[in-house]
Amino acid sequence: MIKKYATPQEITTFLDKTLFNIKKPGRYVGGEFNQIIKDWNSIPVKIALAFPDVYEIGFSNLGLNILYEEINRESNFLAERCFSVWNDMEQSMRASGIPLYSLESKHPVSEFNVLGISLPYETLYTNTLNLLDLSGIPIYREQREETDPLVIAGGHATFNPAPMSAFMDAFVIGDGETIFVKILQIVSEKLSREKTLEKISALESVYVPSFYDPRTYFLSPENSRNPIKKNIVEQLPPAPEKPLVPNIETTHNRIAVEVMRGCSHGCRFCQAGFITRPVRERPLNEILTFLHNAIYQTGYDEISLLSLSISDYSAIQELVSRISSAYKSLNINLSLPSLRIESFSDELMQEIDQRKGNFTLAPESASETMRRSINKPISEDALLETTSFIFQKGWTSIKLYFLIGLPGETMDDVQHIVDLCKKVKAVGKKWVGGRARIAVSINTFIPKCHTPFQWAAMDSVENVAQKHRILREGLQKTGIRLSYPSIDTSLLEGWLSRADEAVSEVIYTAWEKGACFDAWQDNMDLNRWKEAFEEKGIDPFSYSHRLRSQDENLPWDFIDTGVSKTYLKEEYQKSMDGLLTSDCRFNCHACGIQSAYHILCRDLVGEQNGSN
Amino acid sequence: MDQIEYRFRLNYSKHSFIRFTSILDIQKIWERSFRRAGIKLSYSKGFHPQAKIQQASPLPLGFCGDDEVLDIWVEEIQGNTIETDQINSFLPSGLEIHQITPIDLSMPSLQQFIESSDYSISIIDPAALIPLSSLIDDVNMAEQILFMKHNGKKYDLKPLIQSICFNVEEGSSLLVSFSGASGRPDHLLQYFNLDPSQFIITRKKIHFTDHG
Repeated sequence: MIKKYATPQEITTFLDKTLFNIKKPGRYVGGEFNQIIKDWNSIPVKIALAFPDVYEIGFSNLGLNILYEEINRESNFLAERCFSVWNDMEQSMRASGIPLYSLESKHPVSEFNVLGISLPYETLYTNTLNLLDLSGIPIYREQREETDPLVIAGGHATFNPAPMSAFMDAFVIGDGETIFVKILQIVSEKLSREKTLEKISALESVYVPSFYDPRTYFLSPENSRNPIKKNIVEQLPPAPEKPLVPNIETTHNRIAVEVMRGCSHGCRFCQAGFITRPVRERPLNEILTFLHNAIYQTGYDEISLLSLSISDYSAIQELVSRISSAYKSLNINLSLPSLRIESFSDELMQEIDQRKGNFTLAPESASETMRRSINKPISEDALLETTSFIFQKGWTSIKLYFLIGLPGETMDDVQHIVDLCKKVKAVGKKWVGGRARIAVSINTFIPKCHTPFQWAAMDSVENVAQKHRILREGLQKTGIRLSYPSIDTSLLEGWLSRADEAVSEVIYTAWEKGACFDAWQDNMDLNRWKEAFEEKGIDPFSYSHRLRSQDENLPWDFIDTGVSKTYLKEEYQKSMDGLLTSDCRFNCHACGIQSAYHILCRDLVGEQNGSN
Repeated sequence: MDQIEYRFRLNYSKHSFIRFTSILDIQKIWERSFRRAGIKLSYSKGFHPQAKIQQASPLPLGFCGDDEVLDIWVEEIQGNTIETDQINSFLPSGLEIHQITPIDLSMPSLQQFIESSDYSISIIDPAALIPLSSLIDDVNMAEQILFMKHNGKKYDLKPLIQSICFNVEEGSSLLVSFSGASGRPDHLLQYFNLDPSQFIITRKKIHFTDHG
């Protein structure tokens, strides 16, 4: 039985006596450089920031790091961190009755006023329940008492808050910056739980499920909002001045700077592209100043520029070349996320370090029909020319990302992927001979809310299996490395991503049956989920494989991303008609974001924004 | 033209929870700490340059160290010296440098000069009734202490133990000296059916031969 409370001394002694026998014990101790420890007793409002996966993954979440510094900048607030613990540690904690604790001061999570949980993807739902349970906090929000922390979630998965609405006291929709501080200001008034939630629900972009009827979203009390409009920061707030530096290896072990938020390309499958509009660029000088400071604040030897589409950054060439000239002699490398194929230039390639192995490209589809359907029109010639260019520049390894299971996709379209990969391999062979390595990563398309495909059905299990077969057989003995997620993993994501409130109970039941770490392919057992859906009398395929009518009320309709439903419908129709929509940087297509936020997108990028 | 290099020997301690950071990660921590402190380490030549940092003897995961030894090679140093304060404020909690000494570039690597290593073994929970005195007797009476390592290889700890006695400075703790660097106190505890997790194991001192 987990105790709700334990003293930091008890927790420290437990760690001293336990960690010797625990795998990767460095996950559980904190003490990183730039960790912020404030005086627990003198700070009135405390928030635990949680990422519901293991330390190495959660540590690398930029959003968590941004909020950590932003909140700690306020003298009245204190933010500490916690993460899910792996099975061996959980067993030891439960056996000793030790609750989940914060890494900084080793206080139990239940002693914080607020528990903020990052939910970037759906397969973290059961981890979230486990995290609450391990903290001694009632899992269902209705069972929480006055002294329990307010449990508030944010992140991309919360753009459909319905399936987790039974567990969260509130959701923050959209950019997390600025809004958590407002919430903590309300918490500092030390009102009753009910009154606090009432005041929080009056904030724009905060959804408090207890004040809403899930069937109608009728409002109570009066000051609650409907729809809930996502939060945007028009100017990207300063990047963290003192980024945390882990003591152990983490997923992204480097300086990360968000160069740009949002994307203007409108790839129809991409949820991030639609929910993070408008595009906002960080000014060039701000990035360079940040990096200069961050290198000496962290000591990292690698810089990573983050963006959904890095090559769209107005001053990308100048940025990359200035980073390169400033830091190459210090043995500091630069890494970029996947570049858009049409964006390659000789100058850009000169500056990127070749020692980092893979070069990643994401064509997503290989046939003209599919390219038009998803609105990512990259011609085969352009792709082959780019790969040729990459090999000529000295890289020997290219990773290609494709999607299968897209609406309207045929087996021929999948065969095109096989053919294209072979052509890329041939290009590699021509330039670097036997050293050419091609890795092909296939993802199964999962329709997501707030995208033009939100009404679409997922491809059938049989079709996906057949498509996997085509890829496997087509690429065997070619030396091309093929990987794809299990069908079970994709199914679970499909069942959860467009689920409604009824699925809360399914998530709870699945967790009771042992579901946890569902994002870890080896750990995920779909049978637990199938049983849970069956016990609750719900057909999971009705969420994933049902073509929805455009008149249907969708569980996430009350969340307003600024992109109008009319626009999404038009895009869906254009997808079926094979029509493209151009990059909206150059030609506004009236998606709705400008009028919703009274902004001009062009003011947030380029010269107007000081980005070049 | 070859870069001018300087070599320094650092004596440092590793305490608290950073003892749960592995040697590979500690190597990274040193690299980053020096970069934060503005000290430019030398790098090996080649396609994958590595910072030139050399531990005398890697401390096993979970062990504390009172007086660990590390050599670093540095480029561009002002005044040919580095002060401990210059680096200590850039270290994560649990690591602290006590002494920095410039040494000759031609000195051979430290590892081959380790003569012996002293450890203390302290009970975490003094209320726990762990029979430390009988451990001393057991060790002294044993002819062999054969311990099987993770890789399946056995080694005899007995000839490596130079001395084992109560630590007069601290209650509930033992002092054990091993010749060389390979004897492990946790293996000794496990051999006599004691759980190492119930102890704080600290390497108090690494002794070097005169050449080191």
